Formats: sequence, C-alpha cells, structure tokens
Amino acid sequence: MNPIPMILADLRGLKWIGVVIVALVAIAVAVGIALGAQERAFRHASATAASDFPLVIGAAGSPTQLVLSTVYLRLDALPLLDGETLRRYGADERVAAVAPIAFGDVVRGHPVIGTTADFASRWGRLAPSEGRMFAEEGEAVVGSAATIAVGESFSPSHGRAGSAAHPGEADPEEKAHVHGEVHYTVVGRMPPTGGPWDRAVMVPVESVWETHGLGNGHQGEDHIGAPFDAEKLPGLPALVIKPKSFAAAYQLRAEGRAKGLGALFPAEVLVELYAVLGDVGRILKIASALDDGLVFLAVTALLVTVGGLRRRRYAMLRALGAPRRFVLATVWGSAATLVAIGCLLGLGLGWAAAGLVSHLLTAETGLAVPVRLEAPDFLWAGLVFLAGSLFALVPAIVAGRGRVVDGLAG
Amino acid sequence: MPNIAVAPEAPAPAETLTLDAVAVVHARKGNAPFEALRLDRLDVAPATALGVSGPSGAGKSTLLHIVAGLALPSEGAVTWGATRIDRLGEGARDRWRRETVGFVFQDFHLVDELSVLDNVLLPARFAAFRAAPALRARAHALIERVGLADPARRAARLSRGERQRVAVARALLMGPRLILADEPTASLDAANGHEVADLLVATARESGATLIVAAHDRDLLARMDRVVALRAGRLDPETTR
Repeated sequence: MNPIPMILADLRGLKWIGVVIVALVAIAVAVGIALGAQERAFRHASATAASDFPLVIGAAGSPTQLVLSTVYLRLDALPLLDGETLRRYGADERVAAVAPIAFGDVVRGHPVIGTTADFASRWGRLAPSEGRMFAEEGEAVVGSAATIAVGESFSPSHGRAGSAAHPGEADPEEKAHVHGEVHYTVVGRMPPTGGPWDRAVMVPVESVWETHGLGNGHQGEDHIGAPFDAEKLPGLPALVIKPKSFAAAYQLRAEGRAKGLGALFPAEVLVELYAVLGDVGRILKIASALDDGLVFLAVTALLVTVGGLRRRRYAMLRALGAPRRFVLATVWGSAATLVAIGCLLGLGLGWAAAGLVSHLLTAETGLAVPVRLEAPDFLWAGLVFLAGSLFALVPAIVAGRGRVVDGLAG
Repeated sequence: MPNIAVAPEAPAPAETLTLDAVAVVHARKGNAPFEALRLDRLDVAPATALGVSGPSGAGKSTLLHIVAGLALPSEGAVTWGATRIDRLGEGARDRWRRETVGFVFQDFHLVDELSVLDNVLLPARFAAFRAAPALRARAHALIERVGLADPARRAARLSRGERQRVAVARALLMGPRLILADEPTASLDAANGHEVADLLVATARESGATLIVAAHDRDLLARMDRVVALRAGRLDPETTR
C-alpha cells in the first residue's frame, strides 16, 4: 500500500493548523536544544578561559570575586597582597612560574593589566599576532579584541570599582581620572584566546606600580620582569601560579590558606558554579519537558479533532476497499510528518537561539561562547520525534475505529 | 464507444449475487429493536442493472452496505458466486471489496487536495506502493472516457457534474465486477444527472459488471434492467419489476 498521496493531501488540507502544529513542536524542541547547547558552550568557554590560571593567590576575601576579577576581568577593588608574596612564590621550588596581576586602570573601557611578559604570552604558549611583546616600561600589548591599534599611544585612567566599562568607549568617569603624566605605546597585539583577556591591555607590572607612585619593584631601572629585587615590593591584587605538579598545586593551595590567603584553583570554583548552573539547568529542562508534554497533548487533541472532521473521508477510503491499516497509516503518517518537520526546524531554531544568547554573552563578558550542535541535541530532537510519533498513534487509532457505515452517513 | 477504457485486461465474469433471508436489526435502548431491512430472497443475475427505489429511510443504503460488506447482516446469507461475504473476516472483506466492488456516492467523496488522476488512482494505492503502468494508462483512459480533459486538475476546482464523473472513473479503476451507486444523481442538476446516469449504465454494460443503483431519480431507474422497491425495509411486490 502507498498512503503517501493521501498523507500529502491530508497535510495540504490542514493549512494553518499544520503550520501551528509544526511551530508548536519546533518551539518545544528548540527550547530544549537551546538550553542544552548554551549550557555546554558556556561551560566549555569558561573552562577554556580559566585554563591558563592553574592556581590563583589573592588576599583573603571572596573566592568567587577573586576568580571573576583575575580570570574574567570583572574588576573589583580587591584587598592587596603583600608584595613579598610574589618574591616568596618566585623562589619556591614547587613553582614553575609565577606572575603578578595588577589591575585598576582603564583605557577606553579596556582594563589595563600589569603583569609580566611571560604571563602576557601565557607562559610562551602565545606569540603576538602583530608587532612584538612589551620589552620595557611604557610599552603595551593589546588583546585581540581591544580597539586600540598597534603603534597608538595612550594615557590610562584610574578605574573605579563598580563603574561599568564599555569596551571601546571612554565614559566621563574615565575622562575625569586620566593619569596625564603616564604614556603607553602599543607595540603588539595578541591572538584571540576566547576569553575576556582578549579585551585587555597588558603592560609591564612595573609601569602600573610606578603610575601609582609605588616604585618599580627593582633596585635599578634596567629591566622588567623577574627577579623583583626591590627592598620592599609594592602590593598586588593577585598572583597566578603555575605549580610544577599536582601534588605541588595542592600543597601550595593548602599552605596559602593556612596563611590566611585566598588560594584557589579557578577550575574548582567553576565546578561549584557549574553545580549551581546544573541545578538551574535541570529545573529548566524539567520545565521544558513538561512544556513538551503540553505541546503533545495540544497537538494530539488538534489532530483527533481534525480526524473527527475527516470521518467521512476515511469512511470513503474504507468503502473503496482500503484496509483499516491504510487509514491508520495515513493519519499517523501526516501527524508524524508534522512532528518530523517541527523537530528539524526546532534543531535550527534552538541552534539559532543559543547562538543569539552566546552573542549577547560575548558582548557582555568578552567570553567567546561558540555554540555547536552535538550528539545530545540530535538525541533530544530524536526523542521528541519518537514521542511525537507515539502520540500520533492516538488520532490514527481513533480515526481507524468505528463503523464505516456510520462514517459514510456523516 | 471505445471498450478498452472500462474493460479490465482479463475480464472475470460477474457472479450471481444472492441475499437469502437477510435481516438487519438495530437494537435500541428502551424500545423494541428496529428492523432496517428484512428480505426473504433477492437474486441478481450477473451483469444485471438493478435499481433499488423507495423513499428515504426505506433501507436502500443499508442494502448497498450489506452487499458491499461494509456492514454485516444480523441474519441471513450474502453470497457473491461461491463467496459468502458475511462470513469473511474484516481483512478479507476489505480485499474482496477492493477487487470486486466499485462504489459511487451521492456526495462524490473526492479528495479535494488531490488531482483528478490521483483521485482515480486512489483504489490502486490500497494494495501496491506503485500503480502499475497499465493501471495508470487505464486511469488516463477512464478520465477521457468520462469526458474530463485535464487529469492534473485539482478536484476542488471541479463542478459537481465533473466531480461525479471522476467518482465514476474511480469506481471503475480496478475493473469491478459489481458497481454500487448510492443516489449518484441526487446532488446533480437534471442535465448533469442525465449524463452521469448514461455514463454509469454504459460503463457497467461495457465492462459486463453487475450494477446496483439506489435512487429516487425516475430517469435513472428507467434505464435499469430491473427495479426492486423497498418500503420500510421490505420488498414491495407491487412496484418491483
């Protein structure tokens, strides 16, 4: 048997009801897909951004704030670490590398971060995509997304905690607090990392100290970077430490905490964050699954009603010699086709919605959150299709029931 | 008149249709059962054109439904040649109906969203996935035979007269040995009714099929070889010829 012509005829006859059914299913699928894909993408992006920060040390305070400030550059006024900490970790044999992170200044909405050339190049992992790494005080390299050109010079402004910076534009707050005597020249641009640091301007930490009248951390003026050999080192908001081993990492963290410092693995803080995110995600997923249930009930009710209106048509088919299963296949086939189209559209719609959220998230945080459809998304769409096809049996069975002669009578 | 169109490739002869002591009784809540039909005996010889007359509610449609195997009698036997139709299972009755019966309804019952050709080919879809080329050719020939020019036209765009012609072509597609028509002209104006009546009788005759028509229409009944009249479910001997 071949119910396809009848299925197509039934679908054509549905007109706007068919469109509504497809739209309902598509939205139901899209919500599930968007939730899943977005959460996955966000985890991936935030974890990638944290991967260059194995261990972060700050003064005692909120661990979340420390991570947000150092890894995600949501700058806040952090209590300062004693400068000696930098020297101490630099000399510790369990430490492969240590880098100071000093922030507080902004230029055109971009945070100006004082650090070492070593960390600016992510311990040698990155080379400037344009120009070169800073080599002396007064030089700067910019992140890939910063709106300052190589060769340009600028004076930074003193940033204020809590003032919302818009990358690329200087707000009145910024203009009012320019360090007029300080000038940087951009000598290079870094390749994209996908993290908020892509919007940062990185300068030698010595320059930041000097901008604020704290000396340069050295005895002479002949070089930048380690060793920091001044008699008294200026304070710092945070340190990034690359331990030599896992064991060393845990020891360093424990010791830091014992000394009353904030010592944490950003990845671990993220895991806690993800747990909360996961709970919220689960609630949303349950809500969307309930939503799908409602959609199926509505669609089934619509199709049963339409099937009732088509009682005579199906009775006519039986009178012409169609077996009961032909009617069943026709009604089921058209319902399953609608659900299948809805699932396919929903995949695209969900992907687009997740992409849109990503776009907004990138604009807000600088975190590049590329959304990809992966196996779970197709599985979800497949599950919805499967459930929809099962639901579609209801109108099919209802339409195939009853006596042909009653159907013919109308 | 080209016979190719309506004669099946290897025409099996029509069989004798017999209704023996057939009754259709509907149980009614609180009331005495209602007898929709009670016939002592009705024999229809092969290739006869039989008219069934009678007022509305006399049991004409019920008779056709019983003959088509769409409904089962409460008592009695319905036989087509050696086949006891009322004893067939549902699947076998569907198959027998598909292979033997062509049905024409008062209200055409075309599928509006399909073309003329696809409507005519509809009975071919019940059994096979693809209609055989010979069957497609037959469908085209039938469409031409019933006087329609454009097989690709949507059924929704046809006039009432044209719709009933399509229905006749559809009923003839599988080369039925038994053509059943329930008030085939009642929804048509006089001119169209006349033409459809001509068409039904002529095509049945050309193909050697038995034709049973339930109708009020005197013009249609006058063309039948035989007419039986039903009154309250029983044969009325006075108007039966």
